[in-house]
Amino acid sequence: MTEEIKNTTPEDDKNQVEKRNKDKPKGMVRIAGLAVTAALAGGLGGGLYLFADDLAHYALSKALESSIGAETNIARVEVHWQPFGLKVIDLQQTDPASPKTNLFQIEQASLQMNLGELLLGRYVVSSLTGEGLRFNAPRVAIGKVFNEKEPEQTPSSLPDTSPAEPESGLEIPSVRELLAKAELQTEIKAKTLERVWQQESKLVEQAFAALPNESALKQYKQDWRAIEKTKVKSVKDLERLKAKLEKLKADVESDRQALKTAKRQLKSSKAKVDEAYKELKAAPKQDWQNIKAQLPIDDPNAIAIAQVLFGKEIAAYLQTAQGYYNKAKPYIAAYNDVKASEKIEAEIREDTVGRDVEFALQHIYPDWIVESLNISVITPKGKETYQIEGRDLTSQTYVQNKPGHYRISLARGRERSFELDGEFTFTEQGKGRTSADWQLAGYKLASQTLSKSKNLNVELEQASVDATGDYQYDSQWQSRANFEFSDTKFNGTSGSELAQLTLNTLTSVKGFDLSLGMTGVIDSPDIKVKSNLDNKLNKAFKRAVKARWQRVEAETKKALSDKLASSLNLNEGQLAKLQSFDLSLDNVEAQLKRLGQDELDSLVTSKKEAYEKELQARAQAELKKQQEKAKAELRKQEEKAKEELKNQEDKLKDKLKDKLKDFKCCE
Amino acid sequence: MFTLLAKILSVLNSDAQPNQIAAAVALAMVAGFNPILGVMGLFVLLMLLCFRVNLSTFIALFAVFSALALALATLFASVGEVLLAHAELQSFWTELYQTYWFRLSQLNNTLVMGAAVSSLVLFIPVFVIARWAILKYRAAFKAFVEKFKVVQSLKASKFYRIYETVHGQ
Repeated sequence: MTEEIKNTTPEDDKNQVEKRNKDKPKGMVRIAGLAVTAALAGGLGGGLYLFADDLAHYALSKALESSIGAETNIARVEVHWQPFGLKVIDLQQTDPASPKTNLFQIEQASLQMNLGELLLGRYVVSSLTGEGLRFNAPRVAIGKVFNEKEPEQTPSSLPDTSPAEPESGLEIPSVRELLAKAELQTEIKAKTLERVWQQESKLVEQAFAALPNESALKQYKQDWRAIEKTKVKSVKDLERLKAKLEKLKADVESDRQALKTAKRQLKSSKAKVDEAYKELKAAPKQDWQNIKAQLPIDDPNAIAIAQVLFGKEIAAYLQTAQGYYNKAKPYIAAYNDVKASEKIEAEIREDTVGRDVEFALQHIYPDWIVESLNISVITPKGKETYQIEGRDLTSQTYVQNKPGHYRISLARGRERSFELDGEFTFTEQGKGRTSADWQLAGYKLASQTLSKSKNLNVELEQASVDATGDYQYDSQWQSRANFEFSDTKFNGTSGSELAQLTLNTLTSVKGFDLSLGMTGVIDSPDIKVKSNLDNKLNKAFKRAVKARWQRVEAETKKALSDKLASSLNLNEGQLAKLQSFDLSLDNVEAQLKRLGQDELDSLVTSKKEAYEKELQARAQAELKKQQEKAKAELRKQEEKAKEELKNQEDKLKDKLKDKLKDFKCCE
Repeated sequence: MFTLLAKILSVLNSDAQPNQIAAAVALAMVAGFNPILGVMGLFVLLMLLCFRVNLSTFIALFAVFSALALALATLFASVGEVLLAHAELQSFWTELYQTYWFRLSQLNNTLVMGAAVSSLVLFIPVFVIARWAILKYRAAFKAFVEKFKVVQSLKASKFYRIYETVHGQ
């Protein structure tokens, strides 16, 4: 043992100590592990704190570039931890469709986010403020476009094969054009009357040709007299008389039918000719109505001069709105795609084991929401700054069951103002609805061309506008706006009488109203424009056109007079002829009446009766004679019979006497 | 697989403290039963970093318990369903649901809740049983097992060579 101790060297001692230390049970706590944990947590936290700005800058740039597809420039991004938020300074987003301009740019924007909700995957922005938001501003350097798509063949990018752009504006016809376009009824109706007369007179003449003439009527009289004088002596005579009468009756009946047809034809033709004649007389009045209809000066809504004058401006605003809508459309579609894929994922998750149990939340949030928004927007020309405010801006208003609100305002001292207050909601199916009221005051219009046509150029040099309006969208747009223009000053040139009249009327106008109504879908809305300017122009038009019309009417009448007068004279002559036809028909009718059916029938009856009486008398005389003869013969036969009877009695008496001679009674 | 078994045997036969091995078994069970990126996963990671736990055992058994979790998923979901749908606990869960950590850990899911509660409830029993089993193995079975012909033939096999390689490290 001692030897062993003696033999040990210092190095052995050291090893033994190490071995003892190694064999000694170690504690449960891992000091090195704790240090590593602390180092990791500290490093991660510190690194995050120190590099958060750069990380946020990188993440935001990449996110915008990948979603929009064009270069994003951000001067600086600052991350704030309490409350959690970001501050973005000078953000410029290149427009992928036009790399020389920015889709949007903002001088400064700050947002505060709910970190807990962010970790849960919801973007809850409690406050978003921005200054100097501008759309379509030119870039200093052309921005890069990633995944550049083939430019769409929009109508504007297609090679222009169409003819030069037509002049736009209000085309006002001259009086001559107006009358030429009106298809004057006076002329048409005169021609119609002439045609009707020719047709009807032919038909009347045909009907009259079938009537009996004077000689035919005389023949009837002679036949009648001959029949009257005829004496009936035998049955044969009676039969002959009857046959003659039947023939006369048939002839008279035929002529009577012809007379009826002629009368009917005459009546119908007279009615048609009268109608055409009346129409001809009413034609000038109708011509005036037609001209009024072509320039509907009695209906100020239909003429829509204001629509023609302001239509271009309205279309331009509408096009701008549609442009913004088209820019937003792909992002809306992309959002809907994301929603659809999330729905599919949720459906897939439903197939796995376990389920999410939802409990009532005190603060429920949609997938994204901006609880408070306040941004100043500079117009593209940089002259105006609008303030955009919003509350509860989200595409899932149904989650919190309260509408989102937005407000756009412009305040520049007392001289002009604009305010728009609206709210919106979305259903779970993604169907949106919005409504808003707005008002505008003291807006000064810059000089602008309203009409540029071959005969009328109109320029609105100045005007001050006040307006109110509202709109709502629920599947379809419905919007109303009432503008009051004051201090208006029109100027221009004209190339025709009515165009000059329009210009004169417009230059005398110092103020007018304009009401604009829009309904339907946003791609092709139905626009209605009304203005008291129309009334003013209509009145002036009406006065001028009527005065001119009176002259033209006189001229037209004169020009048509020969034709018209001859037509009318002709017609009057022909009408007289129709009248004479009528008289002659009456005459024929009177004549035929005498040869009426009853007269003919009574003649036959009287002749027959006379003949029957004669026959009866003769028969009675013969009968009397026969009776006398019979009576004499009867007497003769009676005497003879009596004599024979007496003879027989005598003979009987003699026989009886002979028998009684031999016979003795009672002895 | 052989390497895994070899590692477990190596640990069992080593001088590693039973507490460390038992803790590794219990933590492997918690990590295997629960989502690794959830609250329980972070808790286990912290435990592994801060406490002296046998990592080889943990890694080997983590895979085993993960596979077991798949088989027990329906059971865990049922446990979670009972707990989350319990009428008397509704106000408690509603209050917890207002907190972000509860929703971030997805404890409102019946499977997650069931797995978390089951693993926490089983943590202590698993630790105790594992410790008792290790001590028992070392005291009685180590020498006894080595006498078996099967073990001896196993020692002559490729598996044992691997074990030796591991043990020798």
